[in-house]
Amino acid sequence: MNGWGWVLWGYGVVFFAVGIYLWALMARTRSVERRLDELG
Amino acid sequence: MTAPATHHDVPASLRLTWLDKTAIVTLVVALGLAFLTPPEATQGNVARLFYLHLPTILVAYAAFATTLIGVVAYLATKDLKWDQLAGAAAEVGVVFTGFTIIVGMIWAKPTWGVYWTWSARLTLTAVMFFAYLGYLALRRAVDDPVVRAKRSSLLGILLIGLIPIVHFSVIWWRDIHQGGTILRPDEMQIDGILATALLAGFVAWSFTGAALIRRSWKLARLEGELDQRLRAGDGRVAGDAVDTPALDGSKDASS
Repeated sequence: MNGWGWVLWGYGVVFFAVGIYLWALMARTRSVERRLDELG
Repeated sequence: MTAPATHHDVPASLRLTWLDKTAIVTLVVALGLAFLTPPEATQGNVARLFYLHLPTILVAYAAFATTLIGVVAYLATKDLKWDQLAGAAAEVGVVFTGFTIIVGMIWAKPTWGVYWTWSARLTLTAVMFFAYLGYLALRRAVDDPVVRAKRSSLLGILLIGLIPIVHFSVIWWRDIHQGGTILRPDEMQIDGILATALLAGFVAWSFTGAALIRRSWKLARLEGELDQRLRAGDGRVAGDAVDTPALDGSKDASS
């Protein structure tokens, strides 16, 4: 693998992980918001 | 007839704030600069990982420092929202330390020939990562929010001592890892346009880290509110969702 290949791996993994983490935060927040809404 | 969807229908948790938007714009700029600057003189293109590797660990340090700020503010005010900030910042700090380690390993293979070696800097960074994972585990192990805040505050204060040890390890011990580039006792060791790409990376990942801490803190506060309401008997917890069966033939034992 040449230099660009390693670079794309590094950036790809991190941006993918940021996306997953952000999605998890939003999903957890939405879930708690729903529970609170149910309680009124 | 249903009304057309407006932005008011989007739940608060899914809406983009100015911090989110700034993070996205600065990330695009940083990515452009990281990919368009000329290759580094000795390592070539693979050195572009530096514009990701260094900013993510600096943001991790800042996140752990935010944990300490949260701890101190909690101990001064006894307001649980500061303990929740400490926990939220530690979570983001662990995520960013993980990024640094992964990017470092991907960079190490083509430059050192191995993904990992037990040098002081690498080992201590791994220790810091697992120590803060322990902090997060401690937070989950205690149910009572006040007891949790007290116990995790103690650990939050102790763990901050790891940051200078990790950072100065390359000066204190012989190491395959390169020495400091920006935060070092003498002058900066990076050239003009490459420094610009590095600065852009630092700005972008700082906004990204701040945006993630803000969201994580918001989640922690909502979880705290939900926990408080369930404790106060407001609503039934999952285990109470099934009525106790009646043994005497009546429909409901509680009636």
